[in-house]
Parts: sequence; C-alpha cells; structure tokens
Amino acid sequence: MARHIVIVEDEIALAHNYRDALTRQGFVVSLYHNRADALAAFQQQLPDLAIIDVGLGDDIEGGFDLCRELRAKAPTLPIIFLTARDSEFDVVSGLRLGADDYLTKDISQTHMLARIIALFRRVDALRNPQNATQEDIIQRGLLTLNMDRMSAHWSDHIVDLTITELWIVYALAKHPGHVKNRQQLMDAANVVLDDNTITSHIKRIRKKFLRIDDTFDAIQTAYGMGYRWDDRKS
Amino acid sequence: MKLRRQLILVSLLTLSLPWAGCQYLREMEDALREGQGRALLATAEAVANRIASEPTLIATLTQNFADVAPEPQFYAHPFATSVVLDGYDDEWRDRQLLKKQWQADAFRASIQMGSFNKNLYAFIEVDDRQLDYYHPGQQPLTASDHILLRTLDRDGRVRDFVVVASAPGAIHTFDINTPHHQWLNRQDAESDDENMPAIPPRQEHSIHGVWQETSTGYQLELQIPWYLTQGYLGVAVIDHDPHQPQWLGSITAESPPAPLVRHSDLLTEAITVFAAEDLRLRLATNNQWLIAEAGRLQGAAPAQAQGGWTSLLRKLFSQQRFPALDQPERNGRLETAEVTTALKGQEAVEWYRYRQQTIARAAVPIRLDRHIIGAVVGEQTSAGLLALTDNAFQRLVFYTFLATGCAGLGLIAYASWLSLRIRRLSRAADSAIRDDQNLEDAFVPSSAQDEIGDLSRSYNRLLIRVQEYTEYLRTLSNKLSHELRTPLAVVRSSLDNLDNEQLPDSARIFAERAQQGSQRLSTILTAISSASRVEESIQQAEMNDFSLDKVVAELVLAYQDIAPQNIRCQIMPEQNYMLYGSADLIVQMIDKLFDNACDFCPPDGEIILKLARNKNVITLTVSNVGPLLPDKMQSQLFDSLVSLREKANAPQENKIHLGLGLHIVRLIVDLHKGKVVARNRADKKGVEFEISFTVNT
Repeated sequence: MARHIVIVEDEIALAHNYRDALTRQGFVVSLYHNRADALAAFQQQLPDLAIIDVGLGDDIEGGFDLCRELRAKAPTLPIIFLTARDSEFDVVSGLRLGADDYLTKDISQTHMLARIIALFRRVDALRNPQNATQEDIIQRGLLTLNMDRMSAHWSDHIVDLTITELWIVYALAKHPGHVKNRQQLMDAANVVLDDNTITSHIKRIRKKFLRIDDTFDAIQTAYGMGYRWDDRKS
Repeated sequence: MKLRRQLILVSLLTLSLPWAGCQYLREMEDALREGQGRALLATAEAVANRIASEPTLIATLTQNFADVAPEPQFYAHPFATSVVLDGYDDEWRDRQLLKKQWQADAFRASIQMGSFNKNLYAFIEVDDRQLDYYHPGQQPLTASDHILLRTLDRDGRVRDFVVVASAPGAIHTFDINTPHHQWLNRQDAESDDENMPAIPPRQEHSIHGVWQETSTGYQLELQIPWYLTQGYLGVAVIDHDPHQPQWLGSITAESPPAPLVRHSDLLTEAITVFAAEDLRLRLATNNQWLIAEAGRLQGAAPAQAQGGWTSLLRKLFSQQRFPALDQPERNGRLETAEVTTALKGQEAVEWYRYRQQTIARAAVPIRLDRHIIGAVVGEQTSAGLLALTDNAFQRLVFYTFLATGCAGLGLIAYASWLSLRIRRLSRAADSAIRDDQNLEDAFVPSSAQDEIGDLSRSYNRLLIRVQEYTEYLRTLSNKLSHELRTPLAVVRSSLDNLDNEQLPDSARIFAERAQQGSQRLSTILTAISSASRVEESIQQAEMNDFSLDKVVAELVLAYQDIAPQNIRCQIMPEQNYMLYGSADLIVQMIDKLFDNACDFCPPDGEIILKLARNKNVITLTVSNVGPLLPDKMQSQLFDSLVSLREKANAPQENKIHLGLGLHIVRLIVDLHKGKVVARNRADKKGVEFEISFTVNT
C-alpha cells in the first residue's frame, strides 16, 4: 500500500511541485494550505508522514502549532518541517516540538527524497524490530549505529539523534581518525547548510552524548579542517 | 572655548556693577555738591543783604579805595602781631606775600605792606649796584639813593616824604614840604627862586625804619603811622646818579598817591556773625580788593586719613579735576572768575581743590540801588559731603565686590553644572551610539524641563530611531533571504520536476542553466543570512578556557594545505596563551581574516600569522603582502555590508563579497572584549589586521 504523505504548505506552486515529485516516487500526497484544513483532515485520518511549513499564510507560527497538536494526537507520526526559515532558533524550536527533521526549502528534491525515505526506514525499523536480519550496523567502541533503523546507541543507551545528526555521526564514525570537513559532513547529511549550522549540529550531538556519558569526547575538532571521530580512549 | 570659560567671561560683566555704583555715587556727589553750592549762595546772599541794608557798612565798602584802578594801590595785609623794625624780612618771609615789583635794567625794587594796630609797615627791597648814602650837610637829600613816600595832608594836598640813610641802620625821614619834583628842580637849579616858598625840609620823627645792605643792594623796613598817610600812599625808589637818576615805584614824578587798601574792622565784625565752622566769608570791593574776612576752613578732612585703597579707588573713579584754590590773602586780590562774574551782577559758584579736599566758593554781588558795590565770597570745604560719600563709597565697594563675587561664583557654579549636564548628555549619547547594549541602559533621557532636558529627550528619540533603523537593517538581510527563499524553492522544485519530464535535449540545456542559476542564488541567500546567524551563534556561544597558540598552530597547518600562498606562523614562545572564549568562534574569526588575506595576496605572496603576548595583552596579527588599504572608509571596514575590494579581480572568482567577513570578525572580537585594527604594514608592502585580547592571568 502506497504511503500517505500530507503536505501543509501555503505556497501553492511549491506544494504542487512537491506533490508531483513525491507522487512520481509512488507516494499518495494530500495538500493543505492552512492549519484549519490540515487539522480537519488529521481528525479524519492520520497520514504516514506530515511535511509542514512553519509559516502558514498570515499564521506565522502556524506550522509549530500544528506540529504540537499533531504530536499530541499521534506520538509516533513522523513530522518534517520544510520551511524558508533557517535560523538556529527556529530549527531548535521545531525539533523541540517533536519534529523528526527540519529542512530548509532550498534543499534539492533528491536530498528531500533521501530524507523522507530514511525517515520511513527508521519508522519501519522501530515498528518491526524482528525484521532486522541483514542490517547496516557500525560498531565503534561504545557507539553502535544502525543505519537501517536509523538509530544510535551509546553503551546500550539509545541516543535520540535526528536524521541529520545521525548522518553526521555516521560520516564521522565510519572512518575513525579521519578528519571530515564541513562540506563532507553536509554532503553526508544531504543538507545544504552553512558552516555555523554544522558547528551547532556538532555541538548538539556532543550534548546528546554527554547526557548519557559525561566523559564523552569522541568527536574532536580539528581547527581549520573539520571534525574527526576518535574513540581510542573509550 | 569651553562653556565654563565662556560663562566666566560673561560673569566679568558683573564688574560693571561697581562701575555703575561709582557712577551713581558721582552723580550723588554732584547733586550734594550742587546743594551745598546753593546753600552757600543763600548764605552769601544773606550776608550781601545785611551789608546792603546798613549805611555805615555801605560807606565802608564804598570808601575811597574801592572805586579806583587797583594797579597803583598798595594792600596793607592785616598782621596779627607787631613788626620788629630791624631791616630784615623775618616777619614777611613766612607770610609769602606777593610783592609789588618794578624793574629797570639792573635796578629793581619790590615792596610789600602790612598793617598792625595804628601803623602801616612796609618792607622795601632794592637791587642797586652802587649805594649812595646821604651825607648830611654836604649834599642835598636827593644826592643819595632815597625813597619817596607820597601822601595827602588833611586838606588833600600832596605831601612828600624822603627817606634816606647815612649808613646801614636807622633811617632819616624828611618832610620836604613841597612836591618832590618842584623841590627836586629847585635843588638841581640851586637857585633861590623867589616864587617858591623856601621851606626847608623838616625831619619827620613819626616814621621809623631800618636800612640794611644786602648782597645785591639794600632793604629797609618802615613803620608809618596811619594818620600820616590819610589813607593815601605812593612809594617811589630813586637811585641816585648825577647824570641819570632812576625812578621806580607806584607813582610817577607828578602823579597823586593812590588810596591804600586795608581791612575794615567794621565789615569784618559784620560778617563774623555769619561765619561758622568751616565757612569762610570774604568781602570784595568793586575793584576786587579783599577787605574783610571771617571764619576758618577746616583743615585736612578726617575721612581722607582713612585707608589708602579707598582714596585710591576714589581717585580712579573721580573724574573731576578742580583747579587749586587761589590765595587772596597773599596779594589781597579776589580775581577769580566767580568774583568777576558776581561783580558783573551774576552770582556764581566755583569748585576748587584745597589741600586734599574740594572747596566750594560762592560769590554774590552786593547791590545798592542797582549799582554793584562789592561782592560777598563764601567758601566751604566739602568735608561733610566727602565724609558722607566716602562712607557710601566704602560701603558701595564692599557691597558691589560682595555682589560681584556672589554673582561670579554663582555663575561659575551654574556654568559648571550646565556644562556637566551637557557633558553627561554628550557622553551618554556617545556611549549609546558606540555600545551595542540596550538603549534603555545606555541612555536615560533627562526629566528636566529646560532646553537641555528637551535636547536630551530629542536625543533619546533620535537614538531610538537610529536603533530601530539599525535593527531594521540588521534584520533586513534575514527577512530578505527568508522572503526570497520561498520563490526560489518554487523555481528549484519546478526545475527538479522538469528533470523528470521528457524534454528535448535542446530544452534540457536551458533547464540545466536555470538549475545552476538558482543554485548560485541559493548560495547568495545563505551568505546573506550567515552574518545574522553568526550573531545568533555568538549569543549562544559557550565560553571556556582554551589555548590560543594551539588553535593557531593547527589552523596554520590546515591553511598550508589549502592555500597556494606561503603561510608562515610566528608564535612568541614560552608565553601563556590561555584565553577565555569560544574556540569555534575564534577559529571562525581567523578563518575570515585568512580568507580576506588570501583574496588580496598574490599566489606567490606570503601570509604571516603572528601571536604574541605583552604583559596581559595577547596580540594576534594576520598580515599579507598585497594592495594597501584605501585611505577612505578605513574606519568603516568592519561595518556590515562594506567591502573595499576592487572590482577588477572579482569576476574571475566565482565568489561574492558582501563585506560580511570583517563584520563577523568584529562581532567575534567584541564578544571577547578585544580590539581589532586594520592598517597598512609599516613596510608599505601589504596590510595587517591586529587583534588584541586582554587577559587577566
């Protein structure tokens, strides 16, 4: 059965473009242009994925509100913010509200599709853990990355990483000791971001690991070059 | 000129207060003086009326000597004591009388006269190169140097006396019984003229005198009883010379004697009644002889003895310069302007200097049936007046200096306060402009209701406007990129969709170009919003201690890999480069500076990163060979959206320069409370950026 994706986007041309692209990939797509319509549709039936713009017409923060309400209704529903706003504050707010990913609108369709597929993969993996037989698993010291399930563990504790963060960790941990510059990390995460956003992603990743293990220092900064995974100590 | 100094200058204007006070005092003094003059005139008027109403006094005033020409007249100065007849001028010298003088070549004569009791005294000095004494029996009287005294007898006939001396000592006086010239002629002719009564000279014993020789001639002192003169006296001094005798004196050979002028006791008595303390009254005859005097003037005013500085100030401020008081007592003449005016019928007041005070002299005519028969002259010092104004002057000086001082101090204090407020305002405005902190903290508008308060409030409004505008500018790029991103997304997603359509190859190439264009547009938007993202990340920066030298060394290694230029690193060894801050941001800052240096440095050039520490200042310098900074806009180099790059080398690089790099540098430097300076290198071969951080340890 084809997956059902809901796009809530006030820019009609853009919404149609996305719909066309996603339909071409075999998804069933519904479009809503404001919060009220979307909410009404969610009352009827929950989709498999919601792609929400933050600003909905005059409702500047409408996407955030919608996300909150949707999350309350369906705690496991994958939600992606797709927005023109790229400020750190917006990203953090979006993720805090329970969105699974935060994409800016200038992302290419290829990248976006990669994200969506990755997200579905993770959702599937969470739903059907027993199906995982031949999984893409990386083990680096205390770190365990399962790229099929899109999940990360640090000494058996799950680390709650977003997809972008997961890919960054994956890119670093795949070749420990190799310095990855920001561009490489961006490519790995399928995002177009500026250096500062990468920096703050790294910062957030470190924090998430530190929450589990306060001696974590496997992600090291190579000034002027980038970052590397170094877990020799652990 | 600072405001305070300006106000101090303005406060000097209060010095006009003492001037105005002195002006007022002077006017007051003038008024008082005029009042005194009027009072004096009134007194003199009363005296004049009194005299005019008394026939005996009128008679005294209009007696024989009052109506003739004064020149040949002798004035008998009233003497208070008797004169010792010794031929010396002891009694005369001190009185400083003005002598009547005559001269013919070397032959000179001078005569002064005085009166005491019932005698008239005369002191005669004669310059004569050769003295011819009288030899009794051998010569006629006239064959010697002699004095001729001409009076009238009781019947009004001319009566001549000849005074001779045989030797220094007592003189001999002869009544020659005939008019001198006749007698002289007769003597000369030595003939027995029958027509002439041959009355021999009779020695007159009531006239005494002593003859003394002097170095230049002789002098003699005479005592003549008043009755003998009948009020008339002419004196001549005759130098004997057989060929050409010389004649000097108040009379000529045949002229009658002129009336003698003497003080009138009667008139003196009459005016003494009016004379008072510090009021001197004098009477002038019609021909201006002083014939009566009563009263005394006060000596030096007591006020004048006081503090020298007030009198000095007074002299400074007092403009009037009166003429010195004349001294009628020396020659018996009252000849000043006001007396002359009075004798013409017009009363007048004049002011004079007398010792150290001023003196008023009022002259009033005495009239008898419309004829003027004399004048009353009243004199009074301004001692009382002076004391009054002096006192006022002193107090005025005190008060005005006090007032000036108070006003000056007040103005200075006010000026200081004012300039303090203005300075505070300008400082607050400065710091509000300079600092990025909240306007409410930096600038508190004054609540004062005056103009400075207004200025402060309008400044506040202006600053709020500026801040709003700055805020708008700051968010503009963000908003712009945000607003542009959505249409760009439409374009890109449309192009992406187009990729999946069956397009002829000729059309596909356009789609690709459109794709490339939109890609570039996307990069530009990212760059535009990156500055504001740096600001955000600065706000969220996590600060910790890190070692700057390690970071720099690592960075240089990284740069050496990617940049074609020769990168060198100079770190002053054995120094502590621990810095409290965000290493990520510092790296970003150095990145921007390095990028900037790379862009300007030719490929074979050299870029040097220097790190040094001097006391507690860590200095990081990025210097590169390359074009120099233009003179203009150097200070704006670190502002947002300012780029001083030359357009020439821009096209071949596919990079955009929005002037954000150095702005980010400044933001990061500010966060670390450092300083950044861009300048041309000392060797003029390139540019260097110097960043200095102050550390505590």
